[in-house]
Amino acid sequence: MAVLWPGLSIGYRAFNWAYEGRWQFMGGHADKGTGYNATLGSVRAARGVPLARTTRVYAGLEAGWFTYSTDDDFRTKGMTLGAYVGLEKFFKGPFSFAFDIGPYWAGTREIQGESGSEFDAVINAAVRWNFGREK
Amino acid sequence: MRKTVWAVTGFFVLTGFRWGTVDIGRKAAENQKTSLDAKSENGALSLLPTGQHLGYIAGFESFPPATEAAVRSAQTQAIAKGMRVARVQTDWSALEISPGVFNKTNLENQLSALRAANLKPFLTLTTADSDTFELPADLMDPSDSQKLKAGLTLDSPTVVARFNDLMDWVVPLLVSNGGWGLSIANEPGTLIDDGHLSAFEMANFARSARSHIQSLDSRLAVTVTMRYQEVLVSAAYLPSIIAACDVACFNYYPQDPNFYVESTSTVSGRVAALLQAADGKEMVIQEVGCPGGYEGVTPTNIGGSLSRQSAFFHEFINQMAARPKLRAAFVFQMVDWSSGLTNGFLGGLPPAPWVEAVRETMRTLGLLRYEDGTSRPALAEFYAGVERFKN
Repeated sequence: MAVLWPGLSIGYRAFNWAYEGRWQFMGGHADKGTGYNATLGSVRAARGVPLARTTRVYAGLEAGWFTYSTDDDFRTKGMTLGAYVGLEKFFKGPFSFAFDIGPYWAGTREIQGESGSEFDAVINAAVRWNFGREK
Repeated sequence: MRKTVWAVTGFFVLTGFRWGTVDIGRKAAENQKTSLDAKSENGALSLLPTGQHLGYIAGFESFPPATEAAVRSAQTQAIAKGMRVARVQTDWSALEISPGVFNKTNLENQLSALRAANLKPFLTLTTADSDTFELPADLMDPSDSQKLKAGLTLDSPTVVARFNDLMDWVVPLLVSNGGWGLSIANEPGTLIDDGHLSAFEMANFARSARSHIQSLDSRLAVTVTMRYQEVLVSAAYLPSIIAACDVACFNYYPQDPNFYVESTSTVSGRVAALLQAADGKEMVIQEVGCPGGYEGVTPTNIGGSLSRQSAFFHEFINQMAARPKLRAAFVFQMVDWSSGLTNGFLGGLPPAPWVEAVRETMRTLGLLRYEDGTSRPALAEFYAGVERFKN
């Protein structure tokens, strides 16, 4: 289980592979002061390689689905695709900290002949609570 | 490897990044909103939520208890599936009961009920309604509903000034309850074809009304509702009336001049023709309906059937989805006309095939049957359409 910035996730590790389901959300005010809410659900798969006893690097892919709405009645939905590389540092006890970065693409469904897309670097960070982690 | 990871991280930290996958989704959605906002600034339906919308009008009469319950249930289900628009229709004569004296209560109640249900209304406020004028009594010929008082035309300064007085309270009321469009006449082509109204008067009145309405709220789209038959026959008056409006607005029924239900294959061409007549403007279908025909009668007078009614709505929704400028359409109606309303509408007309065709049309036009509120299969197509346009 993990607390993400910003959201929550649950995952499973086996043989240097990690699989994760994530839920992220954010709200605030857009450029013109209109309130918005964005919610994303995604799945990840990553391959990890130990660097040291308490550190590993990993690389993986993520696919997600999001919804977005504003106070002035705009609603849309879309998907994200991305790849990432990252580092995970294990601490004493069940905790670890993971930090990864990579290129992501997001696109919305078409409304009135218009869709939106974005391609950018995305950083994801998480504090994880590991059950039954091997030492 | 670790150095490489930190080098890649450092590069993105320096050149810019987004925190969290959800943030790139947010940015893509905001890019889309920016594009749509720019589009709506050039369009007329700025108060209508983005996307396309399906709604309905329930009817113009009270219903038996079971039917009333079915109507309420249908509204609840449609809202749950994403319906966000509704339609209200009233006559000028019903709102102005004597010169300068207004009966606001009924309209206020209807609009506030829709607002409570989070539905945004399109108001049809008729000055002309098919074959009659609907002006206050003191502006009408007392003996002929197809004529105004001697010396008056629809675009007379007296009529325009009185309509503007009406708009002074209707427009703020409508917009404050989420209203996004206002039609100021329903099917005036009937009066024009019969020589009771000139196209010039209609267009002139529309221009005057639109100018005053938009001095009250520039965001409210003003239109005149025309018949799709006028597109089919290329009525000479159609372009000038549409030019006087912010958006094009039509009533569309897939029936030929004898009220026989047309093949579903005609829907694509009909919708394309309506958009062509809109001449680049956005479009609203104020009434779209198809009769199911009398059940247990084969063939019916009008060739209607439950399957043809369903197939029509299925195809219409497909065609609408393919044409983003068709922004909203309203099913006419959720409930059939009762026999009493139909008889009143047809008056004392002598029996004739066309009278019986109209009777069958109105008695079987609903997605719900008047007598018991049971649904026709086309209701499922309507729900599917509402879900399809949900955004």
